[in-house]
Amino acid sequence: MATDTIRPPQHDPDALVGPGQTFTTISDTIGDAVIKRPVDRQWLFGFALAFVVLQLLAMTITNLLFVGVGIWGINIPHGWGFDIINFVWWIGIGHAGTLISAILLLMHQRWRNSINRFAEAMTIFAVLCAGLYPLFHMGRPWYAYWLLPLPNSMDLWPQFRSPLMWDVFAVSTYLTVSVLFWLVGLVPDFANLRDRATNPVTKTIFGVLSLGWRGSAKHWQRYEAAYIILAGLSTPLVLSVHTIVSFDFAVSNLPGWHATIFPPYFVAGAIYSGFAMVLTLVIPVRSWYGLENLITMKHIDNMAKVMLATGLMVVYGYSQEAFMAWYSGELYEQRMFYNRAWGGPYAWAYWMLLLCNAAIPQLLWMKYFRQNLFWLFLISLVVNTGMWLERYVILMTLSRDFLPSSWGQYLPTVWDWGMFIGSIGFFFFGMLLFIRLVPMISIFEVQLLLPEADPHHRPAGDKQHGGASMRAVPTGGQGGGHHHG
Amino acid sequence: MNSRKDLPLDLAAVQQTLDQATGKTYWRSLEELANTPAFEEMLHREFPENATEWAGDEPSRRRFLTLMGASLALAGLAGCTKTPNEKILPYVIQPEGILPTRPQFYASALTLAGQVTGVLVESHMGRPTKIEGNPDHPVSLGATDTFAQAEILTMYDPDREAAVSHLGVPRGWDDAFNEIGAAVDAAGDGGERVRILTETVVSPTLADQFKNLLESKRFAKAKVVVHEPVHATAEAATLKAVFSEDVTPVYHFDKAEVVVSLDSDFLCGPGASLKYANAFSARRRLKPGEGLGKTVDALHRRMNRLYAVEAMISPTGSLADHRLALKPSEVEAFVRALAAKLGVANVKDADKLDKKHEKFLDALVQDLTKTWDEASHSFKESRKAGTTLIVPGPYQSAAVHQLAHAINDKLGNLGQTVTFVEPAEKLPIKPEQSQTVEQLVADMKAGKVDVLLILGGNPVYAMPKATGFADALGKVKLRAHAGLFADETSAQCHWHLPLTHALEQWSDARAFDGTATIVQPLINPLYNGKSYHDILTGFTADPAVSSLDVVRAYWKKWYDANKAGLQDARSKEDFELFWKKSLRDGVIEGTASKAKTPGYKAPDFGGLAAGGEFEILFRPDPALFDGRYANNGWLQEFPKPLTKITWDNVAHMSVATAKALGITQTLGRRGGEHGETYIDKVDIEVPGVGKVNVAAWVVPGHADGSVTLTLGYGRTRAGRVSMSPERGVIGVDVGDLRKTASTWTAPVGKANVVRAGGKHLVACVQAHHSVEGSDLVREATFEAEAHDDHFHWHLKIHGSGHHAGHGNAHDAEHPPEKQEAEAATSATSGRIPLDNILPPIPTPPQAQRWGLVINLGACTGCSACVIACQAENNIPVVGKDQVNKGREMHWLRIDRYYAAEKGQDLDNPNAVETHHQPLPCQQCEKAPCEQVCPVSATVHSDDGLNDMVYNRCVGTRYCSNNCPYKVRRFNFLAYQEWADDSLRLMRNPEVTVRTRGVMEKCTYCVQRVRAAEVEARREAREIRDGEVLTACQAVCAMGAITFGDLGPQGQTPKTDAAKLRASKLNYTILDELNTFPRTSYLAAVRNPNPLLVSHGEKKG
Repeated sequence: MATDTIRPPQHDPDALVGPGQTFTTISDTIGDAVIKRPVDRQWLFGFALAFVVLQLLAMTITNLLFVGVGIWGINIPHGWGFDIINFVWWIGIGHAGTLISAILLLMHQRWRNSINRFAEAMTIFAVLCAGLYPLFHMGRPWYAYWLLPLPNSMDLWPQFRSPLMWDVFAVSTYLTVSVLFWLVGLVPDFANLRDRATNPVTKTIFGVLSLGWRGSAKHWQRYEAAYIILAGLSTPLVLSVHTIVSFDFAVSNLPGWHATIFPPYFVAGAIYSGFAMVLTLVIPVRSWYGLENLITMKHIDNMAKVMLATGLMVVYGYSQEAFMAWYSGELYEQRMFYNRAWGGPYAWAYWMLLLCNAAIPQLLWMKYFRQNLFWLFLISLVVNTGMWLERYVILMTLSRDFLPSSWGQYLPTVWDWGMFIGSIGFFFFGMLLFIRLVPMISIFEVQLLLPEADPHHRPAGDKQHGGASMRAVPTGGQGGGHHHG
Repeated sequence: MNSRKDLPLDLAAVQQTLDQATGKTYWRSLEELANTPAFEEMLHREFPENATEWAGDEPSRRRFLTLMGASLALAGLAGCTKTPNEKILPYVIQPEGILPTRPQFYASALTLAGQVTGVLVESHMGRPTKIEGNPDHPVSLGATDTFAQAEILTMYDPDREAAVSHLGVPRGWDDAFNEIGAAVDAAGDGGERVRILTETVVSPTLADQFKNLLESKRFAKAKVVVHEPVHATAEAATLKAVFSEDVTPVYHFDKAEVVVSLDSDFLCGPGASLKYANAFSARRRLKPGEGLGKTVDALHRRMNRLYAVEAMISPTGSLADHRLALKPSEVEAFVRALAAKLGVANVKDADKLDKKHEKFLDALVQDLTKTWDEASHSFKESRKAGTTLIVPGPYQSAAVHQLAHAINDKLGNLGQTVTFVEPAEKLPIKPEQSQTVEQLVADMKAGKVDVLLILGGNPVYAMPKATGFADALGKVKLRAHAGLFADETSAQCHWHLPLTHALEQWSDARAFDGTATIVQPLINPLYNGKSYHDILTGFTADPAVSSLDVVRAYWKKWYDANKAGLQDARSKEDFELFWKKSLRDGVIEGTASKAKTPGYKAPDFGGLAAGGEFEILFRPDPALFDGRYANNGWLQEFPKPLTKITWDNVAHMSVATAKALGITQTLGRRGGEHGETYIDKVDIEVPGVGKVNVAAWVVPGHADGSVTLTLGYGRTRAGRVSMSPERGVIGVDVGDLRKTASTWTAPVGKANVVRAGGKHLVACVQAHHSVEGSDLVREATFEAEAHDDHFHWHLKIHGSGHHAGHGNAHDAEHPPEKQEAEAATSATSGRIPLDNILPPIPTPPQAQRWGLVINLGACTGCSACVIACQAENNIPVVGKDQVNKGREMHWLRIDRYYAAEKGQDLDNPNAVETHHQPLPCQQCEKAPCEQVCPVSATVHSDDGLNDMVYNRCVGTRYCSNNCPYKVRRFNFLAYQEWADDSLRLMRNPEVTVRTRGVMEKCTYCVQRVRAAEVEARREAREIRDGEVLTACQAVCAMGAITFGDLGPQGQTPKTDAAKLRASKLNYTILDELNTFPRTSYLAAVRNPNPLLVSHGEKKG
């Protein structure tokens, strides 16, 4: 194990924890951001802005309920528009969180420890944003509960062959598991904060949230078991949720939708956009809150590599769509692809999508772009846009299907944008609250990255070290002997 | 413009109106009765759904406040208003035959510009809800046209004027009769300075009343003027010149083997088109059972051939086997050349036809005179005389009519395919008491008219400005207008008298062949109106005499004179029985006009009238006709047969003309091809007459160098549908370009038609016109197979896949051979053999397998079925803005595709082929919509129908996305009219009214199916074939739609629908998707002239 060696005196660019970090400094850096740090101007400004934008969502939904989905630009043939584009986009963004938390945990990728909390929070808010759309895109959202298999006197059940039905289960399961996973992971840190808090109110709140965590070995053992089980539950969800979301398209019979490649291609795309979103969020937050030592360039570099890999999978998906259109010999598939790329009114979006998702991210092959925060931030924004455009392009194939007589076009209205931008406001509103109220980085998991956390660690001539550790990590560090993962 | 503008609330007037109101009054507050502008404004805002400005889905703050204000104000007013005194009583003794839930049908007749259609009106508990054709009526034969279907909405129109008013102040009928009567008495001796302007009189009773009126002392010197905005004036005058007497021609399409239409839309236009369509299509339609075997000799023998020569492509022209696009002056040149070639004497200017049409002309001449001999592959034997028919169009010049009948005479058609009867419409008044409109205008200008009674019509709008009618009207001292609406004419009149609708009154009407029908009321007048009969009675006799009395008295007199000739024995005995039988049948026995055999006398045909570089054609609009339907939402939103444009009129022109003018067209991004097109406007000027600025529209197949404009738009006072404070007037009044009311063509110079600045937003529901390589429309032609000394005929099917479309990128992928092979497979089996993992859907042994077969060869695209479907199924009107967004609600649409012959493009109007394809729900057996609905809101019934459960629908719209035919319609907003009393009465109670957020679609009129099932079960029998007619099927004069039980799979077909389905011509569209549609199509059988077909090249 790399941590078996003494921490080098110089800063190692591959290090997962910056130089000079001890249990204490980590606890202080992360914990104080919640407990001691005053509400600063940056956060307040961001929060106020997000709150204002959130009102746009509230207004749109109110108007939607009073007037109807006709306030959007949807029509026949475009039964779906921004509603489903944004649903898929948000769900996709959520995937990185689960991937980082669960899959990387199971795969012993220790670098996940300093970003998983953040990514999980992102997942939850992204899924909440996503969930708004299928609910409110219904013509009669007040009957949304009809999609649930509730026993009733009329013996009416949902129609289990419909992918929308599967969505209900997929998304609600995903949200539930994600929230549980996040909360369970937070318990040791809540206990840490409880112990650090001086204000009795804060102490009480974190006391309740920490569920009586005392850091005993028994606690750690149970915690470990629960966390692994949840990781095991989440892992298939990473694959299944977006697979099922892709079924909304793949199960239909429309040219451009009816494609067997959709599930893997959607999952790759989801992870792609999720990592892009994590980068978009982490890069500024890291510098605002001085977390460079916890989220190091190693993390950033790894995320950029994952982005590059998944991006290539997505590009493979695009190539297969084009190939299958040609290879199938199917008139409608060919016409669809012709319209998508050249003849149709939305061809600009297709080329923009290729630029954003296929061309620009290739810069990440170069270390310079993976290490330069400015460029990486820009690329992450480009990928977010590109992945949104991907869903846009998929939905816009509705404009020209089988019968030329029913071709039409779709233009989002101010209310489509209102719901979209409003949901971004909702997302940032949630994320900013999270940054303020909850340790945004998992304290104890980062501490585990320190050499001191290794049970076989032999501090060079420092007898005090263990004791310091005990003081600094009264909750998470007590069972120093446990193996994480 | 509105004389009412500044009137305060006049309580005295209100009280008076209330006192005089009889029957039901549908008023809601004092202000409404007083008709203050403020209240009108408020009403317009309060009841927004039926299609006016509500359409916007981004309600402005301003409108929100207005709405709030209006609602509060209304609430306040409602609080201090007494509830109308309405009594409801249960039936103590239930009237015979009236059962709740079971509709009654009453025979009646509807009149439109002198054209009479016999109808059966469906009535639910005293509310008329739907109009069907009367199968016993010789003109209707069970079908109706678009306008008749929409009359229901006109009757219930909440904008109909409800009060007699004088200068905008509500008054009573007694006042009106007294005060107008006094003015008549003051207008000279015997009403010398009185004029009565009336619409075409087709009611014999009314004609009789006019006669009596003008014989009365009071009106002895008054004059009557007949004015009909859309009337075949040239035809009537010409016929008199040619045949020396007034005659009405009757065409016999059943006897005609070759038909030439000279700009005559005889299958769908005004006149006897329903009767003609029936006869014409009977010769072309595949009969059930035909086409099952290999040969179709019977169909080949029966098949006629249609040539159409016209400028603007008409529904008839789009069905023609050969069509030549010529502008009006060229049409005349064509007839001259044709007449000369056929040997008509004294034809001048016979060489003025462009030489490039020589081939067409020669082939036509051969076809008109000889019959085809397949063995020698040439026209050989001479054709039997009297088996062809030349039909001149009503808007053609007198010379065209004269020459057409000269040709008919030459070909021996007179007395065979063309016969004559006495004209049905005739006002039996002395010539000196009759005036033309021109004379009336002159008299008005000269101040010779003191009192003008305008009975019906809207002459201020309909008379072209150039006639000066509207200006001269101001000189008349007392002007009274009787009409359904307070329109442009009433705005310029002192008195407005509300008329009753045809469904609210007793009257009678004679069809073009003389057959009379009693018009019976289906409901008490909704709006305090009186009929023409009542109004004429009011001026002459006791106003208490009802129109029923008048009509009965007329027919009693007729009965006494004619009862000896009646066939029906019981009618002979007793007038009461005769009356009841006439009412029930909707046809009065023995009223058909006598046949006439006038002698033909060749007139002097004169020389060819000079054409212009551009020729402007004026035609009645397929939706608004002459403008009278401007407030009818169904018709405003009616996608016009060829252009698919709603809510607008445009200048139709050919592709080449549009290119020459530099017309460009862009699609909007909201609805795109499905609703939003921006197109350049053109300035059109007729020198010395006027100028209009109107949107251009490109119609492939339109003759070059001509522009067709339609009447009826640009109404300034027509009610809330046609105009609103925000949107203003809909369309452009092209009357400004017409010199007289009978101007149908105006030749102008090149400089008079120019592109103007600015684009116009057109709500066109199908802007894409190519099939894009898909095999959607198929045609079939006869192919001969030699057999000893004779030939057997079978059909060769051509799919549209190799038909080309215009700019089709995928031709190479679908070589013709492959298409044909597929077509053949599909046509025989109806299925293509593909493995399907879904198990077949079991049909219970007892259940029917309902199916619909649509004969593309019999569809003219006239779209009457679209309105019939709308009326039957309570389909809402959504307004232009919503159509722009691609959200129109028609359950049945007619797709229209263009194709060009191979080597040609759409620039050549003569190479353009127009295909119509009605598209209702395909009722797939394996419906893609059903699988994706998360709540089972769309499911299969036992008999295989794809049902929509509105109550269960949550509105995910997935079903619509997954429907390859895109036949589903979604209530994006609250489109249905929920607030208006009168429109609520109109609805078909058998069909659920859909709410916001719910998907809907064609159900095959499942309410009719279920009603028939109940009936059959009650009588313990099977449902008979043909017992259930869908609304679209019932209305179709061409008989293009057949509905019925397809019977168990694999068994011998029993019903008509099953037999047609089994025919070789039958195919389903997109069957490669394994949807197994129950709606199928019969390839259109074409009968081209062999001389005009180059073999193997008819592709596109």
